[in-house]
Amino acid sequence: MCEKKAREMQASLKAKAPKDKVHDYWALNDVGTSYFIRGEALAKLGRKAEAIAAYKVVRDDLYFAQTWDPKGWFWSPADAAHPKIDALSGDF
Amino acid sequence: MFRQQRRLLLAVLTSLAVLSANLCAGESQASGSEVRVVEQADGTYTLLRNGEPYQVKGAGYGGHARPGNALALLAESGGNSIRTWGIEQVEDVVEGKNLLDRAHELGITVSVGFWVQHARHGFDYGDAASIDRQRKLLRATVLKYKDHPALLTWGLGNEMEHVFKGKSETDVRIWKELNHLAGIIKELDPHHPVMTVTAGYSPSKIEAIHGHYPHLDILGVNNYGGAGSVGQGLPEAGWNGPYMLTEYGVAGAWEVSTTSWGAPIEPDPSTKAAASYSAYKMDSEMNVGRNLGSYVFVWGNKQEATFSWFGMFLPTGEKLPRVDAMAYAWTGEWPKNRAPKLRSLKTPVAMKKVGPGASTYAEVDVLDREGDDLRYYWDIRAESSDRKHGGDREAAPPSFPDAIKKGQGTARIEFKTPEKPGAYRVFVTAYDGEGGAAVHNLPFYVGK
Repeated sequence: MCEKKAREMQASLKAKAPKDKVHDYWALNDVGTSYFIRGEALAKLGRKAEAIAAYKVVRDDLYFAQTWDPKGWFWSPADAAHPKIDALSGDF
Repeated sequence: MFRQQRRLLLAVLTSLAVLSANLCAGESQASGSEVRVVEQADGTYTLLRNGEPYQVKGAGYGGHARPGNALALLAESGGNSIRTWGIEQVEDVVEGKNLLDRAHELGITVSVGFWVQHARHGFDYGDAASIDRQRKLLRATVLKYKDHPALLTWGLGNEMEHVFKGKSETDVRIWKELNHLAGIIKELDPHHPVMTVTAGYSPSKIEAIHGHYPHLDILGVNNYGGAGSVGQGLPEAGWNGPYMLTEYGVAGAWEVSTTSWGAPIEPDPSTKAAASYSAYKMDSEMNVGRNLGSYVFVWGNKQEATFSWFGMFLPTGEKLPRVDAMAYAWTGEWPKNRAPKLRSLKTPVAMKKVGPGASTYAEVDVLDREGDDLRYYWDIRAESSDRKHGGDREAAPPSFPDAIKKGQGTARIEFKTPEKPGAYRVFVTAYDGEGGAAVHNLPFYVGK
């Protein structure tokens, strides 16, 4: 439902939004995070190809998304998706 | 991450007297290597070693156990440099030779670490006598090693900005002292850059460096869970200069999910291997011109949270899958005989609270790509009760071999949970008999 808006927000950025503007990109953050969670869930179910596809959306398309860690900082689901894809697609 | 052994202070200070008779302070010799950081017209940076561009593909040479051929294996794997933390490591005898000599023989350079004392360990940056002792020790160290051809950079300090919890991480006295120490190095050895390593990075640390530490040539950054994005984050924090990723590889025990009783859940060996590979690739490919290289953590074995978390080798010397992953990252080729791949580890008690003396089982599925015969070793261990901060040395927790009732040596065991309430882990190690292994564990809790 929000993916179109998320992609618009992604297209409007040239770098990750600074801390004080992160929440302006709510759709991008929420949809990017959701794809990452989807990848996690699919990977745990052993559905490798679908998990990789989910991770790739955030890595390749929504790479300025940011996710709040309750410990006190934002992290990048796109950066976190890199090793997940490597782990699932590579022979590690 | 390793604390220098203070016992060496006296020995090195003694050697200073001998050295000073032979070498004139400030005198520059050109018998060793010549290394410098060059800023290009476009604002990018290159590390030049003896006039040639040099990108570090390195490993932290640390831990408290390493196989006898670890350095040779690094060279075979495509690594070209090691990093040490304290000068006592440089005196290690490795493969029959002094560490620096053996490294040079193998074509490996060394970022020689000098342990700048930590306030959190009790060092007083307001005490003139302590500061003077540290300066003298540095002076002796530089004079002793500056002409060794294996020397790449001076690693001046590691995470020394860490202070006691609740205090500022930007105690300016530390940064000013680092600048003074770097000045000593530059006076005695103008041929090797100075790198100082911080725990992660932040705008306040970068501001402190800009304000008080102009002698710094290369910023070293230790980062685990976010290692792949350090290069992208540094400019946002205010650092546009050259840097190296000086510790990376796997998510730290402080960064991962925990059980309900607070035990960190260790990533499986394949995830750790992929994370090390990805962090290296992301860092090296996305930051060309600012990233001068990286050192994966840690080319050895180390008890930190568990005995298997950060080490790339078992305590008995077998390589783990992360070694192969780095060979693949550095060379684009997998080694001929790889460490086994652990496909799954299961036990009904994983992540659960169970009663004492309960009968249960654990099983593992391991692939050996070359078809080597696998041997298994299971171990029930208490959760570490000696957790430290900043990588300080930890004691290994006790093991309970009597808990294993059947199947030791095979891929499936039957075991009883210990009688004493508390947190435990079931470990399994699969050995391929060819110098490779895979190890993993799952936590469980006895009690309510």
